[in-house]
Amino acid sequence: MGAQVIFRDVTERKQMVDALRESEQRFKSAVLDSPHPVIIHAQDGEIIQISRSWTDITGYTQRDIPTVADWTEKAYGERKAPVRKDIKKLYGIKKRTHEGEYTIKTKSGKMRVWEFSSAPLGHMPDGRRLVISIANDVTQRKEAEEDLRESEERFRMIFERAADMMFLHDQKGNIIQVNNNASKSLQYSRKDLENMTVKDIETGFPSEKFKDIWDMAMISPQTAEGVLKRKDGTTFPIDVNISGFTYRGKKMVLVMARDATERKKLEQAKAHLMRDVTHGLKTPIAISQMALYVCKDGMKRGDINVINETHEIVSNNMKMLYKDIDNILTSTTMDMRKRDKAPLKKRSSLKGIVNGIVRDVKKVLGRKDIETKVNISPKANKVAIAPRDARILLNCLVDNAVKFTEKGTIVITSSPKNKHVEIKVRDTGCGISKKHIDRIFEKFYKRHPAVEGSGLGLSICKDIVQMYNGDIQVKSEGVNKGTTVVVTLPKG
Amino acid sequence: MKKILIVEDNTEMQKLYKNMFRSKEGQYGIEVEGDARKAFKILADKDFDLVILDIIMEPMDGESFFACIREDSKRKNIPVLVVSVLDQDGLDYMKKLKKVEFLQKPVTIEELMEKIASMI
Repeated sequence: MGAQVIFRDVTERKQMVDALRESEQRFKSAVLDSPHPVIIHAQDGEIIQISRSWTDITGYTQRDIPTVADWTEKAYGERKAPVRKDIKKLYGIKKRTHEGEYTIKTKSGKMRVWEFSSAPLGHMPDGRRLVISIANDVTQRKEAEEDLRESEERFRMIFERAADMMFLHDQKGNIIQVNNNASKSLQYSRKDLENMTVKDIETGFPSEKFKDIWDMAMISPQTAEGVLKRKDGTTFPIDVNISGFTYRGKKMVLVMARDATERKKLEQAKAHLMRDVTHGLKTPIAISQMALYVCKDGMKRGDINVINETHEIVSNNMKMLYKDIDNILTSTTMDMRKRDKAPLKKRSSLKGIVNGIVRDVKKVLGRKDIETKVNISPKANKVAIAPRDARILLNCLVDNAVKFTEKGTIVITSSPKNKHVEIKVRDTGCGISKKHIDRIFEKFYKRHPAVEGSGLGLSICKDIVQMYNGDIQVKSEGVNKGTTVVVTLPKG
Repeated sequence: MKKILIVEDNTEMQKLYKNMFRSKEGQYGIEVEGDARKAFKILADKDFDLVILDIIMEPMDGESFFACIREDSKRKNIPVLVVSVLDQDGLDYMKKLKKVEFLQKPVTIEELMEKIASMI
């Protein structure tokens, strides 16, 4: 009986031991095959077990890290001290605890972010306390979060620092966010604007079309023109770029608006310029055409005076037109030559060129009471510039002097100045006021649209002079006090 | 005889106008002035039936001259024929007014005379 009891006891015990062993085995394999990195460590720092995933991620086997000290040395390096302190605390815990994130270094040197939770696991047979720590590898999540944070930061920065006004609003036009520029330009606080709708500030765009353009912006970015109203009621034109996107399931509209006041002004100036240029070209043609009508009438009546007079008018205007078109062409080629920057090793003799120009001018001077004087110093006769360019330059300067002088003298001189030659063309004509002198070298610039010519002469002169590293200045004491143009060119 | 004041600053155009009216000497008496400011004074002293006006002139342009006569009680009703190389698009506001007509240069003698006859 007693033996039977003992025998049963032994059997039960064996069964219990087996069950225990099985359970331990299950636990061991649960730890070993856990999808999360798991570590079981003892109070004295011995690492009892690590999971395979621990080794997979870190590259360390249990042999590499037999103790917590080995692990912390390898995974944290210089940062190990506070980590060791945290781990030490774990041996006193009574329940599960969440320790937070730790950045560890793997065997291959990569950094991973692990989020640790630990729980007490009883005692070893020798009495040492055991702790199980489970890590959740959140590296990818952290990277994604970081990326998102960075991209949001970038967006905020672009939004905030954009030179344009930025508005974020929903599909109903309720403004959600604006940047500093928008608030500044519209004189409203951000808070005010973020409680307003697009219709409160936009007055140029037909309001019934808002919905259409916002819908279209969901498909592809749209551009439009509009008018914004400031708090004080004043308005200004804008160019806008509208793009739509879905954010957290909501359709949003991002609007970049740029003040178009300057662009509009420029456009207007360009239109005026075109008007003046075409006027300059059309006038000699129109006058010639009318002269031909009058000539025909004179021929019918046999009036030789009319025929002569109109012939002269046509001839003058054709010459003028030829010169204007020539100037436009020269100016265009000048732009190309400036870009090419080809070395120019040419010389010109001023005397021959100036005398030739003066001779030609005298032929057409007939009706004006102008005396010309030329004084080219022998020491300042040769200049380092191609003869063709010298002719264009001097022709233009003398031409201008004649054009703006009704009566008086035109003096052309050249004198040496260090390694340069200084050429002066001085007239006693109508002069130039201060406000025009500053713009005189601009392309197509004319003091007044009624002034004859293309408005290109001096801009061409400046291009030529600069191409040869020279200088050109226009001086005038003022209206009706004559003009002096001073050109400096390298000696030839 | 109808009197016409021609305000045109281009000296060649002035010569052409004089020749264009040569065969109409008994019909029209013309006076030519190159400076619009002076033309404005001439209009104060003498009566004219029509003004022929260029637009791009200096120092006073045709548009300013036009605005001046339209604001002047004595001269505001005088018919104005604008003869300019500009097309009429830029002169919209003038087009809307009565007693203003336009011709774009170049104009033939016939066109000019026809237009004048229709205005006075």
